Amino acid sequence: MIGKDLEQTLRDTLDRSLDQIDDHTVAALAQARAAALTPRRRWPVVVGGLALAATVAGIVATLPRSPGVSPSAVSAPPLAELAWQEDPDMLNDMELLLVLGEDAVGGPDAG
Amino acid sequence: MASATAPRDRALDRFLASVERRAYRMAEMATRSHHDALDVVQDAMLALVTRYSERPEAEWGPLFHRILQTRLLDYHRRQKVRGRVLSFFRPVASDCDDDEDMSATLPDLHTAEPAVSLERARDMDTVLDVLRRLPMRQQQAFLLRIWEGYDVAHTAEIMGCSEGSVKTHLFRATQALRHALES
Repeated sequence: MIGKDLEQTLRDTLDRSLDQIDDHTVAALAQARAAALTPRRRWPVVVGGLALAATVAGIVATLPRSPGVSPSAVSAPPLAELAWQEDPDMLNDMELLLVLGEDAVGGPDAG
Repeated sequence: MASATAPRDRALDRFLASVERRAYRMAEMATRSHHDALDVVQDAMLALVTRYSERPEAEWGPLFHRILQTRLLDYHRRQKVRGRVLSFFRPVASDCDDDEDMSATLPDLHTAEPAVSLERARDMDTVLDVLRRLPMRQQQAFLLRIWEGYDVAHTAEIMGCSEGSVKTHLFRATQALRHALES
């Protein structure tokens, strides 16, 4: 098909062409190789991080709670209780607004 | 876990370092673009590491070349689609490179002067230029068989075609090369 001499010469020429690849390209290839291997190298770090997070979560969950503070003590009062708490200033303001509203609707000439 | 993967990582690093320049040269000849060649090689490296790093080391070579050649074929198909969109009137070769036969435009084989072709085969620029002009499949068959030294069966596996196709591509490639070097 192709002479052995020619075949070998072509092979040698192609091998020689590898030495002609410039430094910038060689560096880019090394960088590409490192990038390709990076996700694999990160894997143990990710697993280690997850293990640490699980340990911390476990410790927090098993910590004894302080006996002096009950959940109800720090929770907010129910809304129904808040509804009955009156603010005198707010009531005065509302009354004033109602009077002004009646004046605006009826007006001084309405009567 | 880290201790288990470290030797594997080192082996992968060594393997990739041993093939990266040849892979780049192949990709550069196929794409005729420095940046695209780098992208393709990096993509192939990443695919090997993420998908096949657990496979035996002996399989990495054929696997890497299979990934690389598939990426290069995909690249060529994309370029052809882009070419069709950009140019309505320019004739575009079919997806099967069998139709592209560079040897048809080259001088008669009977005018061959082996000494001259051997001399020209030593000229790097000439060889690279001739290889760049070969149709994609012929280029792949030639580089895998002659440069990488894979046998026909492995080359067929890497190229994803039959052994008969490999022989045809290789025959046309060597004919075209010989013609080009002798002309």
